[in-house]
This record gives sequence, C-alpha cells and structure tokens, in this order.
Amino acid sequence: MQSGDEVNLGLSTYRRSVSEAKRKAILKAARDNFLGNGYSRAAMADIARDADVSTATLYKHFSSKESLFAAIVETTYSRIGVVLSSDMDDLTAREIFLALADAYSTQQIEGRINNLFRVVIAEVPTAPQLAKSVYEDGTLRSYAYLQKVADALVARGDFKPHNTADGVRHLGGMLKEFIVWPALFSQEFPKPDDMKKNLEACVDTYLKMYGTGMNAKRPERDTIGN
Amino acid sequence: MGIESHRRKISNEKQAAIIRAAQSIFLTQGYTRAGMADIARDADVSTATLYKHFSSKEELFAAVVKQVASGTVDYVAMVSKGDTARDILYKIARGYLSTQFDNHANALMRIVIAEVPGAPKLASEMYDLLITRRHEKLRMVLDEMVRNNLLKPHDTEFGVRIGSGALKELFVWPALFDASYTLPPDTDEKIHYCIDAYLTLFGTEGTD
Repeated sequence: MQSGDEVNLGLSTYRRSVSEAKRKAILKAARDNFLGNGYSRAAMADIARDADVSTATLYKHFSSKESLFAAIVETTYSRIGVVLSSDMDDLTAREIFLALADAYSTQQIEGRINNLFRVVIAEVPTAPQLAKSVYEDGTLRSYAYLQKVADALVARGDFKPHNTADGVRHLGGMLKEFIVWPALFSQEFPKPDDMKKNLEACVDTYLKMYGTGMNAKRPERDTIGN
Repeated sequence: MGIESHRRKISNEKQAAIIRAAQSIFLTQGYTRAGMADIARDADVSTATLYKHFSSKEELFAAVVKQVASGTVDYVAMVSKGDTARDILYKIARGYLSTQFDNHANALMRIVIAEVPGAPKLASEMYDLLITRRHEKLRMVLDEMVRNNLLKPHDTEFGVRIGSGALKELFVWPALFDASYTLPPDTDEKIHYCIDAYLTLFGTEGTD
C-alpha cells in the first residue's frame, strides 16, 4: 500500500518530467525559430505553437525572448563541461585538450552555435544587450572553464607556470580561426576534411607554448608491452 | 587627349566620392536598409552615374570592403632595415588592428555576417578579401623573416593563422558583439604577449 506522501511524490516527479519535456521542446522550437527568422523576427507565439505549448506555459519557463535565447546558448555550452566528467588524471594534457577541441568544434558546427552567433551579431545595432550577454555567457564563461583546466595542469606539472588566462585565449584564438571564423561568413559550414589535423596542430602549438613536455606525449597504448 | 584625361580624372573622383558616401551609409544603416538613391545623393552624383560605376548594391559594397582591405596597409613596406623580429611582428599586428579599428573593418564584418542568409556570395567574397588574402600578404612578411634568419623555418601558412587567430580573438571577436568596443588600454601589452608566444615557437637566437 502506498502512503499519501508517496503518491504525492510520484505525482510531483511526473509533473517535473512533463515540465522538463516541455522545456526541452520549447528550447528546440526556439532554436529553430531564431536560426530561421533571426532574433528580431522570431515571435514568442510562433515558438509556443511549434513547441506545442500555450504561451502561458512558455512564459512560465522563460520570462522573455532574451532569457530564452540565453538559455539556448547556456544549454549548448554546458555540454562541453561534460567532456571532462571522466577523471582528468587518466589523460595526458594533449588528450584533454584534443577532447575539448573536438567537443568545441562539434558544439559550434553540429550544435549550430556558429549560426546562433551570426543571429546575435546581426542584432548588435538593435539588441546590443543580447550580444553582450551572449559574449559574456558564451565566450567568457568557456574561458573561465578552460583556465581551470590549465591551472590544474600547471599544478600537475604538465604546464609551466604562466598566465593561464591569457594562455587559454591563445588556444581559443587558434581554434576559432579554424572552427568559427570561416563559419561566420557562410550559411552552411560543413566540417572540412582537414579539421582534425588542424585542431591537432593547434593543441600541439599550445602545448609547445606552455607545456613542460613532461606528459605531452606518451607511447601509443598498443605499442606498450610489445 | 587632354579632354580624355580630364574626363578620366572626373570619373575617378566621382567613383571615390561614391565609395566614401556608400561606406558611411552602409556603416550607419546596414546593408539591407542602405538605398542606392541615398548614396548617389550623398556622393552628389545622379543615380545614372552611380549605376554606371557600380551595377548593383552588392558590387558597391564589395568595392567598399576592397578599399578597406587593400588600400590601407602594406605589410611588406612596414618592415625597415635593422628591425628585430619583435619590431616587425609588432608593426604588422598594429597594421592589422588599424585596418580593423581605424578603417571600420570590424563594423563591415558585422554587416556582412548579418547578411549571410540574404547575400551569401557577398559574405564569401568578404571572407576572401578580409581574411584569406590578408593572410597571404602576412605570410610574405613571415617568409621574408625566415629568409633573413629572424625566424626559424616553419609552416608560415599555419603561423599566420596562429597570429591572426590571436589578434582576432583578443581584439576583433569582442568588437563583433559590441559596436562601441574600442582597443583596450593594455593593447600593446597583449600584442607583446602574443609575440612572446610566437617567438617561443619560432624565434631564432638574437631574435630580440
């Protein structure tokens, strides 16, 4: 037999999962609308309709178009932290940054953040605050995260002590050069064939700039014990 | 002969006035809202004359960007005898930023990026002008530095992208998101930090 409390608990879990599903549907519909129509022309009513929710529900989740846009950027960016959820201790510095570079390129290209950036840049004259907040939430936050990784690697001895805040921007600049800049100037930017090679070159350059060389390369796993 | 060259001179002056007027209108109104009639009026020419010089708005915009991209900075000419590697890298970095900030390349980039869905060809031309061709010019400077033993032999094509990536990251990227962004007070310090990194990678003895 269930007590009343357990029934309530089940019900509230159910409500939470419905609410979570609606939120996801809203974010997806909003993303499509922003990418298709641009920020100014995207309408909350259309987004609600495409997400199959009432506008009241939409506004319960997101009080404004700005906060909805910010949530899209944030959701996409938060995925990158997941890359390193596994223990960093098991990875070389090179493996860590290659994984991050790869996740970044997937986020920007397949995750269409490059396209969202274009939407935001187009609105700089009309919605300057939106652009500023995307810059702060996107660019600056991901640098803060990268800097934590770099600091941990200094502590571990993989990196020389250096100004890690500036250092990660060198890495970021190199990666954007290949992942973001060309994509800003074209509607569709499929990952070029030499992307992997270029990202490796960026990471290796970064390691040459600041690495101690200590852990930079270790033998291929399949050659160990041969 | 005299009349012919006089006509050419007038025509060149008109073209320059059109490009000037167009640049200012594009920068204030954006691409879509900029009207050819307004540009003709500001340049003090008839719309017929305007269209004789530029058959479309797209062509006119391309001419504005071309002027910004090519007319301003001659990287090779910046190098003087006796310059150290650091001197040269500093000068070309400053030249790069001068195009972006003093000659409105940042603002033009924002306009082009906004117009990608409506004018994709324009955007790819601008990328070629403002990024790819500029890289080629910068690469010539790096190759010359390698020949003069100021830098170690290295993949200068990749080198340009590291340098250009760093400058864009620090100074151009923030400007894309903020029309009022100006070069920060510690610009020189940041440039030298980039040069330090580049020289760590590719410097030779006696580089500084």
